[in-house]
Amino acid sequence: MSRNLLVRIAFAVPAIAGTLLILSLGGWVLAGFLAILGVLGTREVYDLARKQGIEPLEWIGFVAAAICPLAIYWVKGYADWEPVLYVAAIWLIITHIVATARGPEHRPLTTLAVTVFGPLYASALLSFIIAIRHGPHVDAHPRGSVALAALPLVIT
Amino acid sequence: MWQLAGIGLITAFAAQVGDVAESLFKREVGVKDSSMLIPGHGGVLDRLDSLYFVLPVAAALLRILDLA
Repeated sequence: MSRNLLVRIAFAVPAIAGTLLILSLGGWVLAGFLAILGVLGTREVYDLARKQGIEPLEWIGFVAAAICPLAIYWVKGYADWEPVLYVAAIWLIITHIVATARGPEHRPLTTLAVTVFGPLYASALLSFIIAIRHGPHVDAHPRGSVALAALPLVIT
Repeated sequence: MWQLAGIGLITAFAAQVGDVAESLFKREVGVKDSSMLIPGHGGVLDRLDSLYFVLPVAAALLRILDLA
């Protein structure tokens, strides 16, 4: 057995166990975990863009990536969706202003596109697991909800 | 049972599309891994690329079938 395979297994086993535990806990624990993954994924999207000479607005994107799963769980469990929509619109406006304020030589359209894409791709898409884990049947079938949330992870 | 089988098939296809999509990003930039954050596995994007496509598709299917 090669060293690389041993490293992969050594990381994967506790990661899978940890993921299943977090899925079973659900709630803010799951949302917080997704926020961390979202920020890390967004950072990698930005790193890929930077290799092509694009300078995304990192911290604005990281804030969106972190807030996204938390906001989605908040709306799911507690609140109306409208405030989140307004916050998202304000975030987009601020991102737009900052991108264009840097001047045309900093490629504001490209910067804005990558800055917005990062958290949408790496955080918002991941947040759909909250919709599965905390769907309408979660009270009647809590373990079933965990199993359904784990299903996409098993398939992939 | 057939509903879950259908979900499995569609999400498996979505997983492949997600994997290829992220691979195209990396090819565009000329890198093998999105980062070295996860030992032996590459980066977060490398590990979760399939899920980015699978989770919305699975959530939609489960909602349509009233399973979640």
